[in-house]
Amino acid sequence: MDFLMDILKELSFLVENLSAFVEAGGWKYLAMWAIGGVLIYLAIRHDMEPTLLLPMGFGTILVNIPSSGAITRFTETGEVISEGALTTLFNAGIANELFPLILFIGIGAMIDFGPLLTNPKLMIFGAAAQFGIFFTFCMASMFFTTNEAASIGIIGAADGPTAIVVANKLLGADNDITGAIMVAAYSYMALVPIIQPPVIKLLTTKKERLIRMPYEQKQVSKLTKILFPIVITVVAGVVAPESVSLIGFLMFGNLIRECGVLNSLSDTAQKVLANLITIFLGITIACQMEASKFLNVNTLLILGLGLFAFIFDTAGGVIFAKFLNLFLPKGKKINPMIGAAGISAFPMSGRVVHKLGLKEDPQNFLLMQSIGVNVSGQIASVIAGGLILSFFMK
Amino acid sequence: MLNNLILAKSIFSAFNPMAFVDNLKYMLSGMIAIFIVIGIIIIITVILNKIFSKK
Repeated sequence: MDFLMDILKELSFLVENLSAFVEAGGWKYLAMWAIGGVLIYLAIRHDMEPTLLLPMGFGTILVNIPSSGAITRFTETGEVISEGALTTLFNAGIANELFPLILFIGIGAMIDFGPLLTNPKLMIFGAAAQFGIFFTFCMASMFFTTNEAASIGIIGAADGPTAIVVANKLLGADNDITGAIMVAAYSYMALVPIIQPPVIKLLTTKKERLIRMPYEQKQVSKLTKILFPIVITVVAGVVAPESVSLIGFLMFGNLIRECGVLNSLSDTAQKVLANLITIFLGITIACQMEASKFLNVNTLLILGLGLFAFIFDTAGGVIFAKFLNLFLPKGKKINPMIGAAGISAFPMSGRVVHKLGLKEDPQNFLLMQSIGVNVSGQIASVIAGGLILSFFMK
Repeated sequence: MLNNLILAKSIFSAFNPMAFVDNLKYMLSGMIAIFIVIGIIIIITVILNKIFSKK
């Protein structure tokens, strides 16, 4: 009997931990576990950006275990109790913007600017689809400070790395809303196939969705492909110097791809480098999803405004295409759906538009045009990020 | 819960609809700037294509 009592005494820490869990607001942890579970579910069951949502979902659970050793813990007076590996990774890779920028090298190496160079006029839709960023900034400014509103607006860039860099520069990595901004940016990117179609359908008629755009295959010289990333870096850098790191890393990756003498580096950047950084990025972002920081009204408001930004990006591109159609002769009209592909979520947005076109008319192939617009959205969103920094970084 | 109510109250008490109007100038200048930059890039790309196009 004494032996049993001894064992029970030894195990009393379990009861203490459980009671501490309830006292410390156990429902909040449960809610965060549920959020983590939903992210993992979306990644596995619906194949939504699994490379990001799965690590983020698991990381959310990891950091929301009471007294989790994965994140740095502090005493009430601010002294460090224990260093957490995820906090160390966060400081080493996200707080100083290293991970998103390195990821941009991989993304740049993956992008083929061919469809865009074949028809450079498509780039104009990339500019139009940045409307959501600036409109959301105006909306957010009614609730938040100017810098916070600008960081929330950049969710509309539909570009995780750009959102991280802009939010970090304007607010600092420790700001309470930075985590919600990162999570919104990545989650909505994954939800592009759900968010965009209803907006596109709402703004276009069936007749407009049936417009065919014959694709004219043109040869683009190798020299043009090599000069393009250099020229873009210089132009964007001169206009918005704050965007140089973003656009520079993206274009450096593309130059590696196109130069033709660094094939093994290009392969590494596209696969190994991008995959490695993605693993660390996803799970490290979750570091910002602690219940105490995440479960509040601000987060709900930011998620709502982020959704708003994506909707108005899509609307901006579609409405601009419809506007251009007013001036174009019959037979040269643009299918306004391709305007929606001007957001940076590459290649999801281009594919969404292509699939919508095929759904309306199985013979209407919009893939090349929509991918061209989608690639231009990548460039335009980085420039928009640079402009936001130029406006508000003092 | 109480903290959230206080936060919600502070957000809505800080609600400033005039900020929307005040910041419209950034929206306008941002969109104009982005169209100008993209326009320049389009022109340069067309020129590059013309100069280095395969005959």
